[in-house]
This record gives sequence, C-alpha cells and structure tokens, in this order.
Amino acid sequence: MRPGLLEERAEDLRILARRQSDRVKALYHPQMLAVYASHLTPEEAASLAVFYRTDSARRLMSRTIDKIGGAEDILFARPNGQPLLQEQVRADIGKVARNVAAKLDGDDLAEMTRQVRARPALRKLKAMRPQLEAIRAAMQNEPLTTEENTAIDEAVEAVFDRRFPAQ
Amino acid sequence: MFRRLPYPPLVAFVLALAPVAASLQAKQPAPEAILMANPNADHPNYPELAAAMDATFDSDRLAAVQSEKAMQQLAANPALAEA
Repeated sequence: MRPGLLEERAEDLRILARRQSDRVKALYHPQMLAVYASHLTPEEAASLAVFYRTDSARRLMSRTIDKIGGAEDILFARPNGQPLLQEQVRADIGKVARNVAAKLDGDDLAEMTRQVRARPALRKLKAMRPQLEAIRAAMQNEPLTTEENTAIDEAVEAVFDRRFPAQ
Repeated sequence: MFRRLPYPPLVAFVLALAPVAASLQAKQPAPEAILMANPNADHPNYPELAAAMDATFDSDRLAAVQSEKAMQQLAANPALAEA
C-alpha cells in the first residue's frame, strides 16, 4: 500500500464522523433528558453534573476512552450490517467498564467510594442503564442521511483522485 | 464498508461509569421509587447534566482512537492493500 493513503482517508472520515455523531446526539438528546428526569430529581441531576465536572470523573472517563478500542460492537461497523442490539450495547459497555475498573488503584477506589457516598444519585445510574442502553442502540442504528452517504463517497473518491490522478 | 461510519455518538458511554459506581454501593434503591414520574421534567438541571457528561469526553482523542481502529480494519482488506 502507498504510504499515507490510509491516513488521508482517516482524516477525511474523522471530520465526517464528528459531524454525523453531533447530528445523532442532537436527535436523541430529548430522549436522554427524559430518562434523566424519570430517575433523578433536579437536585440529583445538579449533583451528578457537578460530579461529572470533577477531576476524578474526568480522569475516569479518560481511562474509559483508552479502553474503548475493545468495544467492537458499539464503536465499529459490523461486516454483516445487522442492527446493533441492546444486549450488545450492554456487553460492550460492561467490557470497557471492567477493563477500566481493573486498572483502578487504591487512591482511585477511595475517591470513587467517597464520591458515591457524597452523591447518592450516583447509585441511580445502574437503574437507568436499560433505558439508556436502548437509546444507545437506536443511536447506533440511526441510518446515515443521503447527504452523509454522498459526503463519504466523495471523501473516499477525493483521496483516490489525489493519489491516482488521471493521466 | 463505509456505509455505516465507524464512529458512534458518544454520550451514552457515560454508562461506563455505572458498573464502577454500582460495585461500590451497598444496596440498590427500590425500582418503583426511581421510576416515579418527575414533575420537573423540563428543569434546566437535566440538560446541564447532559452537558456535563458530554464535556467529560475528549472527543478528538476518542475520534483518534476510533480512526486508528478503523484504519487497522482497512489495512487488513486485501483489495486496499494492493492500492
């Protein structure tokens, strides 16, 4: 393979992917809020918002991203093109979470314990999981728009045009 | 291969925190208690929570991780390897 070919495609796709991700996130945002509202009081939501903005939460999620490459079903297109099932979402998230949890040291665990005790609303996350998993599966299965498909085709073709110009 | 982008929305990955927190808790609240309808569904604290969760992610870094994985998949494609 010619050097740089894959990198060119990766950059093009990264831009398109961010755009598509933002669109789907906005589409399902109201459903996410409804789940939060059905489980949390406004005060609990505020408490969790503060937690997610703490350094410890950011550190934990940073490690989650490090381990995210193992979540094959959620993150990447599957060859058979079948819809993603809620069970697969649950399995993938569980795998990532176990990988992250396995790397927590004593200080991390102490901090998490302190946070859970200080913020009882954190205990409600588990009960929210089935509904959020269902939404998450629907988000993953959301089809690309005609415009997105066209943009992908053009991005791929553009790379090949650059690399293999017409004689 | 690119009909479905190898890059999903991010927000639901906050779920990854749940098993960690759950492993530390002593007991679960009763399901009927937490499933009660919230009369304050339009309260601004809910979008604020969503924004806080979203801000936890380094989207650029995640995009890099996912792109690297996608490129590994592409590199394994024999047809592309000949390009």
